[in-house]
Amino acid sequence: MLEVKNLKKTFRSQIVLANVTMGVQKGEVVALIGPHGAGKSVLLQCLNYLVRPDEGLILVDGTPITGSRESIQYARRKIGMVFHKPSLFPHLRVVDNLMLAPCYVHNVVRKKAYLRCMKALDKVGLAEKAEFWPRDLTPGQQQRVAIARALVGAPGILVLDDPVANLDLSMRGEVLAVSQFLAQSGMTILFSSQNAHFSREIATRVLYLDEGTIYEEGSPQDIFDHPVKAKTARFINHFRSLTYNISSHLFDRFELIQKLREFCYRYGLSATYINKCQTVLEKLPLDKVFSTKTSTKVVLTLEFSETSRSIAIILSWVGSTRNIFDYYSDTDTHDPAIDPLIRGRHFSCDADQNVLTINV
Amino acid sequence: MRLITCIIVALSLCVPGCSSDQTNEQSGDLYTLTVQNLNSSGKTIGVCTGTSPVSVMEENFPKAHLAYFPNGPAGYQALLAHRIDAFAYDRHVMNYITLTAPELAIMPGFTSELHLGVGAAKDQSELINRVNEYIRQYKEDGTFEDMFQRWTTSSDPQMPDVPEAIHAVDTITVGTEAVNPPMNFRGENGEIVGFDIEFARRLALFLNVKCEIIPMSWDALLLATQKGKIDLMIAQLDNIPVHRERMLISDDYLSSSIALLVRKENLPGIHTSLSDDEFKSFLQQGSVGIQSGSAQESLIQKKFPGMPSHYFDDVPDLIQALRNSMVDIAFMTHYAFLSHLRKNPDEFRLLIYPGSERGIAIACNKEKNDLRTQINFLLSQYEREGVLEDMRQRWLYSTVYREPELPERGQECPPLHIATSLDLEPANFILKGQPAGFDIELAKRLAYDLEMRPVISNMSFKEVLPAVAGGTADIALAHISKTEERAEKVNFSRPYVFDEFALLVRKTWLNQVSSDLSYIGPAPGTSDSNGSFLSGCENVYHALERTLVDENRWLLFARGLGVTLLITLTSAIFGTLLGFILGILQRSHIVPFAWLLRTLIYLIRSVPLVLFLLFLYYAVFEDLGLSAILASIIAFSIKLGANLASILDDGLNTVSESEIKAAISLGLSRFQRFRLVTFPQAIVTGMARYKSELISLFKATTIVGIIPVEDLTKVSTIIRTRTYEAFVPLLLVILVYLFLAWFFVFLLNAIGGQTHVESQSGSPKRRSRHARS
Repeated sequence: MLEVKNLKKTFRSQIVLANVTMGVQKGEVVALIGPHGAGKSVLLQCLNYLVRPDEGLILVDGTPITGSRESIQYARRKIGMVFHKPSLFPHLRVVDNLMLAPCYVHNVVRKKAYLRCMKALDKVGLAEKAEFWPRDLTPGQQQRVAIARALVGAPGILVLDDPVANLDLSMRGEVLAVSQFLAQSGMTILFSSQNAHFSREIATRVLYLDEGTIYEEGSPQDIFDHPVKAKTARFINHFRSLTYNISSHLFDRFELIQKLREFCYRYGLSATYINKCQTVLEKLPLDKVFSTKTSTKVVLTLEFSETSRSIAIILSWVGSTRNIFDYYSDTDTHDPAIDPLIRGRHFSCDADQNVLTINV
Repeated sequence: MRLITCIIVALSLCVPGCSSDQTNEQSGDLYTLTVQNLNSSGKTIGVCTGTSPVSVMEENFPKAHLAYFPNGPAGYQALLAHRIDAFAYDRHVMNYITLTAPELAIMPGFTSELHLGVGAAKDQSELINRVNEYIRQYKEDGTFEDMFQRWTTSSDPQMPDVPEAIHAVDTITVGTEAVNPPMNFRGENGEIVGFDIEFARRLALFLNVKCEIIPMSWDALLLATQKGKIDLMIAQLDNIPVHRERMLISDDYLSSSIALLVRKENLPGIHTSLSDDEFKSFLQQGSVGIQSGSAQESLIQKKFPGMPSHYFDDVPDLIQALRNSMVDIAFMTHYAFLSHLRKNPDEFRLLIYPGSERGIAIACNKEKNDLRTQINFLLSQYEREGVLEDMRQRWLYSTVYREPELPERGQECPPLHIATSLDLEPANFILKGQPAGFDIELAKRLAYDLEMRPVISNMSFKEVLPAVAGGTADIALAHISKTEERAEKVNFSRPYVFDEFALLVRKTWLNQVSSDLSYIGPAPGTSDSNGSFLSGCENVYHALERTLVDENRWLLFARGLGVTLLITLTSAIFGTLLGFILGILQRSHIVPFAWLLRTLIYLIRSVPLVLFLLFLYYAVFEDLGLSAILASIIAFSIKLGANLASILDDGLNTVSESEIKAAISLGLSRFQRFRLVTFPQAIVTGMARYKSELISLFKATTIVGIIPVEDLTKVSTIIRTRTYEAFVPLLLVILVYLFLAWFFVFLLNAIGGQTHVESQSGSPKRRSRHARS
């Protein structure tokens, strides 16, 4: 369906894409992951010639994009693109937003176009919002309409450039659900994402973009669980763990709780579990750490284990050997507040390095 | 609703503003203005920019403050409104003004030379020569005097029919101000009439061309003449060095002098002008004293037989009788009484009857026709050479008499017997023990040029004419009015001065009488009519009448309105088109071109509109000879276009980049993106600003009068200069503008009033049809 060979793009003497070669077969759902600034958006925008590549070849359904008007038109016809922001045209109603392309570009009769648009809206679940103005929809709904707008032209491949990046957590679900639905109904999808879990769930293949090239690629299991190259592993781990620095007992506990919830959500953990984690965190006597005389910095790490589908809260600090759960140094004793919630605790001390692990 | 409230408020403000003339006369003390006290730092003298009075006033009244006005009527109004103390301008024009504005009068005691000619471009010496020829001719054959009298001595002069040249070869363009009555102004139906216009037509007839009169402001006239854009400037052009540098000026086409116009209340011995009926009824108010043998005597006997009158031989006797209350009214002429009035300002009051102007001429014996012919020849020569004007200035207008040294013929020359009565200052009287005066000097000059020696015989006035008729004297020079009755007995020369009937009365007597006679005007010390609401309403009604009805002035309004609408609408259309084109072009991908265009647009927007218009009309379109209306349309269109281009640019920029990206991804071409995505949004964003730009354009057309265009605002100025009404014409015009502005907003909202984001590609009706199916 889509083939990219030796793509190169430089922006102001900075090489963004050095040598990218990749392909998407019909029916595949390919996830493109990578650190910020790796060039995911640039790569995706080269596909429909929104950004002109310096070198390389792009083939859409076998036809190369040569820079001629016809080839560009063909590519844009075949590729349906959705961006970070929904960018619906505010002066047109929802259905009119969709009608633009078929009526003016593909020269479809209005009646027929209307039917197609309603069908597309129905696919994303927003058929009843057809006559609404874009400004009256929530951002999540707008993004879904954007997806419908991309689908109206019956593209061969749907390209999603991190569609949930600008959305509130609460609204990400609906967009991700739509993507899942489309994937399951056989749509060829190429998407870039920050959400590891999501990539795992629906992708048939994962591409890791780094250093200007496809650093590593493989099935989701391969990439996420057994990354071959070190850098990939680091990146994945980065995905998998969250680090938070606490420098004083006056830290922003709510920010920490927010990060925890986000982290858990990423991995699709249930709401009950998330609440449990939150409670544990809230009940941790962190201030005890700061009551020691030496100024301490506590590094809190959250790790996600795929195998057990659980979170581990790891606290580490430098200071006098002391388990904050002073009177819990003995694993036998109970803390009535926390203990029922967690699976286990472990404290170790290596020179001044104290590490406390709590498995939720 | 708001509009109606505004109108009501405006009209109610009008009423007190129109109520009668506020009197500044404090009870008792009358403030007097003289030549001496005018030259002080607390006084303001008005002058017209670019005329000779400017330098004359600077010279003669260095301490006084000068105020500059664009034309005569602006000065008169300022004088009436107490903003200046005196206004220096042409005397003959002032004569006319005092007829139409009875509160104004010419200040005696000041005069200065004034030479007025016809202007033309420097390369038109041939034309100027021909003009000079005509000037010589029209002075010789009496046309000039006739015209002069007609225009400057009547309060409602009419334009005579001057035939056009048949088989005219060419057309000359004559520029004039058209706001300077009675010389050039807009009269009946808004037509341009006046002394200068009649002169122009007669000149055209003489030159065998057609003439086209083009009105413009004074500065525009000077410039246009200098550049040759008009052939001749006939608009009371001063022949002064600063003008001679720029253009050729013909010989004097009328002789006059500079006079100072002041408010009557500032003059001792206030004059009042009477109409026909007023004059007749006034004569019956008291006993009348007349000089025997005078023209007034026969008039009284004919028109008012049976009226008790007293007869006096000499003028001083008459005055004395008046003083003693033996008579209440002395009936003679203006000049006869002038000196007595000046000497006794608190005692007497002078009432003049301007409709009664008649010529003062030399009476000759009926047999001496040769003599008369020679005298007439000499008189024309004196008039042409300005000798007579100089004499008038010295004897009639000044308070200090200057006698020139006159040569005399010796005994070998034949005598010229002159009969006179040495009792009438300033014409023929005794000064320092010798016969002196205007008539005496004239007699001496004539005698010298006739190569005769003057022999002056003094007698009482009633004997003067019989002496000439009988042959005892050759001529009589005694301020004699030319009448038909007298012409039966003697022959008259051409007139050398004009005078009018006047009545001299005691001030105290006048105060008693005047309470019954409204036309006499307020006696000093008493306040004027009340400011009652009814009289206020009457004033408004009269003011409206004068502004609209008189001379069909509403036609002028209609024309002005048409011009304003024409300029507004065409500029709006072309400006919008231009703005659209510029708005798109400035986003071109050719970078230098786009940058250039944007800079140009920025410059056009930054230039103040007034300067832009002036620049375009005078500098850029100078040689193209574009009509001023066309030039103003171009200027306004460009300005509007530049502003709209900027508005469009802002509107197009508000469309977010991501929308563009989405549009591109959908496959829309560049033009489709513009038409379907960016432009519709730009229109919505910019609509409010666009509407306000259009209304601003409409309001900005008010300034178009700075170039020679007669729009609605200019018309109000023109009417103001004719009626001295400021309030009503301006208020009317403001109301018209307010109504039009409201109307335009209404129209704009009706035809393009979408101010919130709405669909352009489908109507609700279509929606529901689809939805149902």
